[in-house]
Amino acid sequence: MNATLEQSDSATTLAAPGARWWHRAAYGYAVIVALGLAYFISKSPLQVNDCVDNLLEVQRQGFRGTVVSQFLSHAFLRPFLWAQLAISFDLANGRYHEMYKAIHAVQLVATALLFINLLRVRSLAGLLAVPFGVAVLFGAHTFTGTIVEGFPINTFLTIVVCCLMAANLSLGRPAWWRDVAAAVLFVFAAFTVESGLLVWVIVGAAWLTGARGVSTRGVIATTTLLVGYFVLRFGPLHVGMPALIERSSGFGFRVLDPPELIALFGARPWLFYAYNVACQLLTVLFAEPKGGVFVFVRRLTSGELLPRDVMAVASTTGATLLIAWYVWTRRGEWRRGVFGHGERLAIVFLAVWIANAVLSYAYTKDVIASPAGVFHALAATMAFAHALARIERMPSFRPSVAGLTLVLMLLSTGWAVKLVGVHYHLHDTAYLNRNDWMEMGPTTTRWQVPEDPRGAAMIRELYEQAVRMRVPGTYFYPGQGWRYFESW
Amino acid sequence: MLMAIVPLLVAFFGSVWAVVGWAGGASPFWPDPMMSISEAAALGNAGEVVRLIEIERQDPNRAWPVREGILGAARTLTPLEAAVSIRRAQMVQVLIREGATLTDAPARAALICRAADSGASDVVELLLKTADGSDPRANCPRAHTD
Repeated sequence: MNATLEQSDSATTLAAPGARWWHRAAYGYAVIVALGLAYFISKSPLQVNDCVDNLLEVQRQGFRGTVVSQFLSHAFLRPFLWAQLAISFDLANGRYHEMYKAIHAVQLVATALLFINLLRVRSLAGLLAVPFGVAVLFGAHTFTGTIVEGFPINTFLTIVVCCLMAANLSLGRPAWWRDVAAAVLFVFAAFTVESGLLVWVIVGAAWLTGARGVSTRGVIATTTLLVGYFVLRFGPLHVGMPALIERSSGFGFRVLDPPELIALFGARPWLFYAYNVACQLLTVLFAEPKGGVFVFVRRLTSGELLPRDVMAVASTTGATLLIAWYVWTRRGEWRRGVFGHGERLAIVFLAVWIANAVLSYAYTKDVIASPAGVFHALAATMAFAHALARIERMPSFRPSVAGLTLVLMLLSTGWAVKLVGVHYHLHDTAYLNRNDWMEMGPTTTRWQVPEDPRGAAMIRELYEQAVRMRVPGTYFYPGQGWRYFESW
Repeated sequence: MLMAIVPLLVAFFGSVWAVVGWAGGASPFWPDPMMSISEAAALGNAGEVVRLIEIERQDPNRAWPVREGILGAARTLTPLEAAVSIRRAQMVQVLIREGATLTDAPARAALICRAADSGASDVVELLLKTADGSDPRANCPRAHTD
């Protein structure tokens, strides 16, 4: 296994013949897939909802006003999210589409690079696991929201990048600057969106496994900042926590509106929160439920099950089983407390999986679990590489070799379809986003800005950008595609 | 070992094709819609409807061909007729905003009757506001009062 994906503590062993080549090829592969997605993203207009309101807000208030107002808000504490929006808005200077699509593309490429860096590819077998890992990374239903949502800045993707950076810092070679970087990263992520707190979880979990990329001093500093965050949030800023009435959320077999949630759980909100946490735990491992709704079960019982539903659940469950098998085969190391890179990634996944679900207590949405999904992909890739290494060591033409190869091939097929499905879904999203603009028209009345010429000009520009784009939708694609490609 | 990831490599070649095409200024996997306004309206593609009217300067008040498969057999009809066929009120609204008119009284009455017949009350409501605002439903081939 050492020769497949790097297992040792040393993060820099590229001495094996050709190791550097495999390493670079892995980066190249992931970047091309990320750019392929970026190409589709670039052809989709920015969405209307959660876009125009936010841009108008930063346009009216400017950088300082926007950030300061965030420190005075209730339920959510996200000043850096708005700071990023305000800065990029000023830099865009009217070229909104170009600016925000470029940011999205850069974030995707960064995700790919950071993901590959964590895999430490050192051999052909390791390289061959990369296509699987990249497909699980980008094809997971928890990640799809970070790709298909046409927000100006996709904050969920920002947090994914932060989490991967935290893991790279923690699992790398010890250096003082990593401590500083981890602390800065934590502050940035935590004040961008609440799931940014996962940076601390990753730093802490990696440290517990013996990784010292971020030193004990660095972990103490990050923990102090975490305490400071909570003191600030619940103390002087009085931000508090989101209440039941903030959003709709899935429950059982459908989505409930806030009044329904209050009627059901008003007296016992903890029950609803426990349900949400359980759902977020399950969805990462089995792709069911989705957004708190048991879609697969509902369709199965109503006879409306589609191939895409089966593929989604089977692929994700297959990846989870592969991780379980990998952990089982490494049980000797676990017992001895010997943690190689693979074991560390598995433990960090476990920590992120649980913490991510807990942070999602207020409402369920697949994309909130995107950091857990990414670490699930990392663990699955390690497991896949482990399986490939087994095949490599076995003599050819044995039934066990054929059987294992067939299982991996089936799993690859499922994830290949899921990855292609993301591209298919981007077609649909582009079509829907553009239609939203057209059906609304270049009106300013929706946002009450008729007397704000700058706001009106921005809306007109966004509308005209959407008009100019050519979006075919999926009509001219082979029929029945929707049956095989997931829609989220 | 390679066998295990063959399906993923097929998908990868798609990514390569997309990236190379993108770099070369082409639009792989993003077919040019090449459709008439009536086809766009029949497909609910409001974006293409607006682009064809505002940029390509196509006339939203004349009949355009709709190829076979979109609304059944191939036919020629106005964008408003296409929008009524799919009972899409928002598409009717977009077309009216973009200059589609119903000045011909018999054509207007026929369209309102068709919308009423299909039970698209939101479409009927929009169409009733056009031209002189008269309600022709009492004279439809069958009684339509919804």
